Amino acid sequence: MAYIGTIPAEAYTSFAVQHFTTSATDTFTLDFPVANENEIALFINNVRQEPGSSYAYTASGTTLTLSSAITGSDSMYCVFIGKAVQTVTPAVGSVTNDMLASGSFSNITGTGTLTNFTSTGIDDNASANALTIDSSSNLKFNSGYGSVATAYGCRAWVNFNGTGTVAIRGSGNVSSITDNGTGDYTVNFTTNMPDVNYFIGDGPVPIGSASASLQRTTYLVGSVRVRTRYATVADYDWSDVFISVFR
Amino acid sequence: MDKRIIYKNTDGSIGIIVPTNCGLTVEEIARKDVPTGLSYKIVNVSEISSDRTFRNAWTIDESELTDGVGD
Repeated sequence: MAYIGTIPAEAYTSFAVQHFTTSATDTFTLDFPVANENEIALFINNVRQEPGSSYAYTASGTTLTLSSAITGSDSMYCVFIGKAVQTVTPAVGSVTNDMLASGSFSNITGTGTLTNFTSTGIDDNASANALTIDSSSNLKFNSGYGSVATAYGCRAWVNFNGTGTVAIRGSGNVSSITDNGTGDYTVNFTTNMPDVNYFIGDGPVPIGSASASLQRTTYLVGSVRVRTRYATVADYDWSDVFISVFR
Repeated sequence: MDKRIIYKNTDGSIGIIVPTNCGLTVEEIARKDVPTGLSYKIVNVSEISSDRTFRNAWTIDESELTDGVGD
């Protein structure tokens, strides 16, 4: 059959029926609002009533008014002709991306497996589990480790020149370094560490045969103070100082 | 950043803060990283000597530290 306009989606409809608890009154409340009495078929004692103000009943909104009161022994029900309850069930495999509202994926919950998953920022080509976020929010990955295990991230790092005009070449989660004096620096974190039980790695890079070392002097959640030394005994300004913080 | 933040420790030593481009302004970094209660001055990097031979002997007149106080 041809249509004028948009072809409607496949639909199955059913009509709502309301059975009334009768009493000696002429006014009842409908389950659904209607425009007028012609939108319902009213039956009293299984006899269909004629709609209209000059006849058996009128209806407007959710108010049903009979032309005369019935009794509690009468039976009464109505069929909502103008209120068809429609349920649309898309055919299996018929829902396409264009039919999904933007952001609708945010409502996906539950468990399941996505294979060959790809998004703008993720391209999953692994043939076995390679990345896990466990119930404790720990991030675990393999990436050459040999198994999927918790990854402990570098929480801050800085690369700076401690000679001449002290200057930072690059950093992460470091708001600043404080030049406290010769070979004496404080690395200030942008976001604090959860505690002071972190690990400081790296240090000054030796030049030639010189012996360079890094001494940690003060651990705080918001900063760590270090001394760069020459031959482990004297504070010394090094040109290449690398500091990383793991937690 | 081409700015530096100068403050004077209670032992008389001079701290010079080198800010990063971490998303905070130099003023925010100054308030956060200057020790609590110490006054500071924000200056151009060109105002800091590049000769660190006697770095530990550097000093400053506290009356010049007028840009704020560390939180």
